[in-house]
Amino acid sequence: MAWKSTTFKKSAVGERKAVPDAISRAVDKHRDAMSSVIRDAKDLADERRRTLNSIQDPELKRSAAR
Amino acid sequence: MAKETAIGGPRRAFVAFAGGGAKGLIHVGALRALEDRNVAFHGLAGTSAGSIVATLKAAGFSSRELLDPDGGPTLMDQLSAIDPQIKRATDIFGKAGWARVRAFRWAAAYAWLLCPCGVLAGIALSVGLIFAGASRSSLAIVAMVAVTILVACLAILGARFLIGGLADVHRFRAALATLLQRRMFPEEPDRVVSMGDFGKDGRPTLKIVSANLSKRRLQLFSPERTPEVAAADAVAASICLPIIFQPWRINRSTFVDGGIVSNLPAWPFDEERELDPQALTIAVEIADTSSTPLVHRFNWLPSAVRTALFGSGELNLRVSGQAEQLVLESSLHLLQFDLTLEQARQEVRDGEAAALFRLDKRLFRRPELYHNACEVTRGLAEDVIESALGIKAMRVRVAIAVPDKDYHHSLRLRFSSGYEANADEAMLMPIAGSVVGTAWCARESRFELAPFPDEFNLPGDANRLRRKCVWPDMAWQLCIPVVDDAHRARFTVQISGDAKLPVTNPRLEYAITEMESSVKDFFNLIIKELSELEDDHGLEEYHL
Repeated sequence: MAWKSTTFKKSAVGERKAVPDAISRAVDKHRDAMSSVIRDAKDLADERRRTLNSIQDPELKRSAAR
Repeated sequence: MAKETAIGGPRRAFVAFAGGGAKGLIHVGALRALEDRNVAFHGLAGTSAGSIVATLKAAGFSSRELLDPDGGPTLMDQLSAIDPQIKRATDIFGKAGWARVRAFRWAAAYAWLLCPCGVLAGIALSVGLIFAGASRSSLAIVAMVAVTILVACLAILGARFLIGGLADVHRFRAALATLLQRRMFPEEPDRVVSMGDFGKDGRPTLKIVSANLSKRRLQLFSPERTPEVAAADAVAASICLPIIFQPWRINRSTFVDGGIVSNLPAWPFDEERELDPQALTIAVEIADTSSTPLVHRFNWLPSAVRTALFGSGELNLRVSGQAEQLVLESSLHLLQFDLTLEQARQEVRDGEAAALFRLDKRLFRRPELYHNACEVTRGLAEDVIESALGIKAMRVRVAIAVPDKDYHHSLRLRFSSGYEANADEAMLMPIAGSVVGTAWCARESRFELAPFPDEFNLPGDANRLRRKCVWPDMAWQLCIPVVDDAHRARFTVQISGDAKLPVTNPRLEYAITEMESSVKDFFNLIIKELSELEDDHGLEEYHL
């Protein structure tokens, strides 16, 4: 288990297996939204690369990329 | 500090433009970028070249009307319609004035050569006079005296222009005054547009910086301090770069370029910014990147002028507190007013692209993206808790905590969703004494239920006010540090809610594990895509 707590008492590992479906479904419900944000991040990065390459003044290009 | 503002609507902003001579052309590009990102200009300030852009924008001109890189009429066309002798930027100096400025530009570039030549010429003249006297030849004496007088006259003339100014701004001042009147009060041809005409009737306020030599202090022209001063006079007083322009006189005071006292005037908006803390303050600075010569006693003057104009950017920003500094560099020379229209258009195009590149990273598209990521995380957290416990998740908030530049003991809740109604939005959290700080330090996620143990509850007197700002209903908090491929901590995702959760429950335990894992994967993918946008040593830099 990757997280720690001083105020929450963790139970035995075996008990967790009884309830994964509902929680997994709740997470899956948001996969599309997460993918959309990640796609936006990729688009943003691509567009920024194009913008940077379009700058002809070397000093302005340098200051943009800094 | 970048303040998260409502996504979508116009962003209120106070914008300051620095001086920079011909380099100021990139302000038009920066202005285009700000207009493109739907910035609502509530106040404009400028020094020198920046004062021209600030004044024209405050008067209602768009960047397109100043210089549209896609073609069309320019500001010069409008000035030309007022004064037909102004056809290009160099005409502002007058024909003789521009010739002198061009000669000065050339001389400044070769000062390293001209200074020794001048010394040698002086020695040669002295030696020549001695030899001519010794030869007792009247012709030689007359010739040498004539040459000496000629050289002395040229030197005196040169010194007169260097001290008194190579050009004057009367022509530009007159055309600008008419331009402002025609735009702001077209029905009143005799109206003189004054500083008091800004900051009312829907116009943004305008502040212009100059150096008042008569009073030996900085002069701020503004609607409050100098309502009667003509706006064109204030601009003229601000742009009179020593040596290049004759000092400008208003009433009985003499002014020179404001760049020698404050080249990046973001500070005049202190009161407005305190009254409207959500508004952005953007300071557009022009950095000087020209090659640095070996400065010695004979060529220090050009370097002194450059240092006065460009050397105090950080200081000016510190005076103004937290503001967003957009630093742009240009290959243009300070006095390169003789570039072609196509070169000017390209410079504006480049300035816009560079400004957008930086603005999107710090203020617009990237913060919006992180805001959206917080929104998605919020929905996920609500659903996971509800599905695990079968209870309403109540209210959930998500923030991304990032260290500010040069801050080593705290994290800023920079991007967030659900914090709008709370005082801890954008709060600075100490690393020691908080759940988020502990998770950040240990690179380990942490889930805590309220009441938090003392070590996580912002202990000590230093946190007294901070404790008052913390969301009083907070019942739980999950903090997830996000680490990149190089094992550097980039930020911590802080999720909190007000639903009372059990202190032990296997379903909740599983839900927290699922949530922690999903959120970590989600943000890891985001920072991977944005890796080129992030700074090497953290998510945020102070500069845009």
